Amino acid sequence: MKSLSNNKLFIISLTLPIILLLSMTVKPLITIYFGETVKLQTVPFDPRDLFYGDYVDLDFEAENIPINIVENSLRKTLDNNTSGSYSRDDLKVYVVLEQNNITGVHDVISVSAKKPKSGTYIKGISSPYIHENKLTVSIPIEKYYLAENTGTQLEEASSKGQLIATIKVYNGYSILRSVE
Amino acid sequence: MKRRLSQSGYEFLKTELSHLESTGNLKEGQSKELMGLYDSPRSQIKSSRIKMNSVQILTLIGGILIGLGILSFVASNWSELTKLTKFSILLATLVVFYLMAFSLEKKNPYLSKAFYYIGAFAYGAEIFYIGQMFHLGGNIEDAFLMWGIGIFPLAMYLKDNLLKGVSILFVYTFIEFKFLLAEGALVYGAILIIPILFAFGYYIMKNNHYILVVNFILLYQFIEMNVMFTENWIGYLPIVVIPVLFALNHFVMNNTKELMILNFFLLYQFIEMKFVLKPLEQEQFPYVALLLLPLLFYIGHKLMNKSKPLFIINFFFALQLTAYLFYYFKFENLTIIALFYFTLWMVLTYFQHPDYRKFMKFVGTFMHFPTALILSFPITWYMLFYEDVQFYENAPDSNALIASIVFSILYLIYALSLVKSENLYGIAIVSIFVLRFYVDLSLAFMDKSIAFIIGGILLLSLGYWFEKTRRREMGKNEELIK
Repeated sequence: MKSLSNNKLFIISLTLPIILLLSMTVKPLITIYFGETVKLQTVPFDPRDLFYGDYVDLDFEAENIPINIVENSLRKTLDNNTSGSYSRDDLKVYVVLEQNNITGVHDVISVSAKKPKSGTYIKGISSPYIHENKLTVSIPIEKYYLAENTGTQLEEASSKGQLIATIKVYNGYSILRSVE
Repeated sequence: MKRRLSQSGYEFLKTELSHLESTGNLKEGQSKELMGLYDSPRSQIKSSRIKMNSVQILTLIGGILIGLGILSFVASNWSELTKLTKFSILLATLVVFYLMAFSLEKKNPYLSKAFYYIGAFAYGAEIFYIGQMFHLGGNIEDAFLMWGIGIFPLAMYLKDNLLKGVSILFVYTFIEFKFLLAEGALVYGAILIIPILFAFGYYIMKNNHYILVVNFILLYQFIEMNVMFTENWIGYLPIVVIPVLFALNHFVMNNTKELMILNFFLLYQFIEMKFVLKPLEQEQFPYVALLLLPLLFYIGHKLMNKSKPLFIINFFFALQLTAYLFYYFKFENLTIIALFYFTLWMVLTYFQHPDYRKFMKFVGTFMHFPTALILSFPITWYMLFYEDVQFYENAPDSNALIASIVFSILYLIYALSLVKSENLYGIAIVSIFVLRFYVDLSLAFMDKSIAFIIGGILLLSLGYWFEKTRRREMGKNEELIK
């Protein structure tokens, strides 16, 4: 650090934060512009966050997956974990989605540990066990930020069971766009 | 009133007069008498140094408040602006404040520093805003990593220890959350990262003592999480590991005091796991540990030559036992528990064992304030009045509120008595208490970003005023000298 002149160090101090900030927006922007649109059924509620303001916590129907559509090799690992003989670490999984032509919402058609070659899929983290014949997968979209004090309206809407999240998906990476 | 001189003028006069005295032009003792007519520059320096400190503190708090205002501006989602506008405003805040700070560096160093702090806060706000913009949420540790890395060059540039500390703290927070508290494969990332941290501390931070200690804490935590809390045979590895660590400290690390404490800490924790937590898990009274405690104090005091590290560990062990005893007897009255610890800290502040005075006073002094802060919230008090009420919101009257206010006032009087005896800690207590109530009240009536920004501007102008007064007084002194 000593070899740097003071002015150069100041320029680095100023540019590094800017570069970091801009780099943080790259992946989301690519996903938004080149990604595929997916609609998912949600179950929200309304807590608060010190740093981020009002948001709706989102749970998706697609996060509770019946065990019969889990791909075979993954299923074997899960069975072994459930019987208690193998590791208890969470698993990285790919949730494959397909649009339901009647409702327009995307449903899960399979879950696998390997990256699918084609189709629409989201990267998620699965619990290592099977519970009541279902697999819990967490999709890394959890929060939808709102203008302050508008959370209650959405909450009411969700109690009627009609909230649908629109998501952009690119290469397994997902960005939430809107909740209606 | 005594005449004032600058330091150099005072010194000059003093040497000249004593010279005249030694040559016989003045009578013996006359030089001292004459010098008595002037104000000693030492007392002047002292008072101006105190002023400088208060300016620094004010600009610092002002900077932080405006920063908080910016943060909460992000949090409250200014809905009329488009996302891009908000993003640009924050980015511009960062750039503008950095540049303003840069240009003010020589002219007004305190204001310059405050501007740098605001810039650094705007940068943090922007990170959280990006999270909000794309609804990323979730990984708060990643945000801290970005914040920590982004302000590190600035800290190096300003040679500012506070910024350096915060930057490193943020990065360590990230490592703690990402790797040490993680589950699954990421835990093993720590094996790779801990050596890198040691190298960083050694080469970049010039073997900084504090970083070394923090690194060791991480290393110990890693051992703890992956060995101590394991149920199978690995749980007994400490029998081998702990002696190795003691040997390492003795032969390689030249008996570092902090490491010694950590080693004993691990040893005690091992004892704790086997003699305290295990019995408690099976709902048995931890009598072995309770009997061991006086023995441990005895060993430290008599056999280990009044070892201070051992006393510290024994002290914390005893403290932990009090918490476990509350737990064992299912004693859940938060008010009494908080008051118990508050009394304990106050007693420690004023009464200590002569051999361990420094440590006991330190713990007492630095713990009574956070405990008092907890007791300043009415929610801490409601259990004292209504044992069967489950939530504070259901309390039938305002007894708890009154109790908390009475407590706060008494404590503030105590803090003010500290201020009167020029105790800096007292000033800190009063400011934070005032801030705590300001936040409580202003948030109820005002939009919080406005509240923060007004508070910050107030403090900054106060700092500016102090600075101006100080300069004017110094100018007057210069004129007097001429």
